[in-house]
Amino acid sequence: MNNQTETCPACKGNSLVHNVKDGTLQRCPLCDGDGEVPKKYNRRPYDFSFPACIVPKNGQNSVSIQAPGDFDFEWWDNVAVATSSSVYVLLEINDVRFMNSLQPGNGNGIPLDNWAGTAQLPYSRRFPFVISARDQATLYFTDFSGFTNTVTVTLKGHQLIPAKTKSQSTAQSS
Amino acid sequence: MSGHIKDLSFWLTYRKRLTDRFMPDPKWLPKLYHLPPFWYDFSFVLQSQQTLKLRQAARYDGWLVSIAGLSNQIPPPDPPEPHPAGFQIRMLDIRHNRFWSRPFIPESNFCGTGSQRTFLRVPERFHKGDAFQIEMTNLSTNVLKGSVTMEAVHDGNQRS
Repeated sequence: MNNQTETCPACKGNSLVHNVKDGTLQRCPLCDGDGEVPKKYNRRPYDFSFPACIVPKNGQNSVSIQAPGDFDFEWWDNVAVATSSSVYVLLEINDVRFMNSLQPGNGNGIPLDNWAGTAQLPYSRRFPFVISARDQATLYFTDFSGFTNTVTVTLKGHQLIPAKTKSQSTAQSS
Repeated sequence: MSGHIKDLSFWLTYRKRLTDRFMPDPKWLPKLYHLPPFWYDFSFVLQSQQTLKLRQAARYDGWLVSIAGLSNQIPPPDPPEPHPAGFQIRMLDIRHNRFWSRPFIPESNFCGTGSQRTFLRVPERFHKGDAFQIEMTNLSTNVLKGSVTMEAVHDGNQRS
C-alpha cells in the first residue's frame, strides 16, 4: 500500500467479502480484490508557483521553493512565462532529477517550450503526480539565447485535502 | 484499482472542459496515476542535410506517454512550391527492435509541441536498460537546432 491508498473499508484488506444471499466468499466489489482503495480527497485548485528567476546570458541559475506544509499538491499542468524560449529547464524534487540522463549535446535539461505551455494552452499532464507537503522543489535554468532572461514557472493542480470518513464525521458530531 | 476511476470521474470531466485535448484513457489511469514523471530529451544540432542517430538507455521501468519536439526552422505555412525545412525523423521501437515507421516522417507528423503534445493512445511500456533511439535528417541546407522530448512515468524500479 502506498501513501495514496488506504485499506478497503468493505473487506478490511482481505480482498474477499461474504455474499449476503448465500454467505459464500466473493471478491470484494469495492476494491475489486485489491484490498485497498484510493484515499478520498477534496480537491481545491492551487498554483504551485516558483519565484521569477533571472538567468544570465549563456549562464545558469536556479530557483527553489518548499511545498506548503499543510497539504499535498496534485500536479497536473506546467505553465511558464519567459522572455526567451531559448532557455532549458530541469526539475529536481528532494534531490531527485526528473530526467533520464544528461548526455553529450544535452547537459542542460529540457527546452522550456517542450516542458511548459501557457495558461491558455498548458502542458497538460495526463497522469498527475503528488508533491508531498514540505518537499523541496528546485528548477535549474540554462540560457542559450545570449541574453539575460527572466523565467517564471507555475505548476498547476490541486490541493489534496483528506476527506473525512464516515466514522470521523460521526465522532465529531457526537 | 477500479476505485481510481470512480473517484476521478468528476475531476476528469471538469478537466475536459478546461483542456479539450485531455483524453483520459480509463484503462491506463489507475495504473499510472501518481507515478513520478520523467523526461527523456534529445537535443541536437544538424548540419546541412545531415543525418544523426541518438540513443538513450532508460534508467527505470516505465511507460512512454507523450512526445514533443521543436526546431529553429519552421516550414512556411503555405508555400507556393514545396520547400523542405525542419527535420524528418523516425524512431526505433524500444522493445521489439522495429522502427515506428519505415521511412523518415516530417517532425510535425511525429511529435507535437510542448503545449499540444502527441499523446500515445496506449502508453508504451519499457524496461530499464531499453534504449530510446531516434534518427533525424535535416531537410534544409542550413544548420538546424532541434529537440525531441519524451514524457514518461516510471514505477521506481531504478537500475542499481
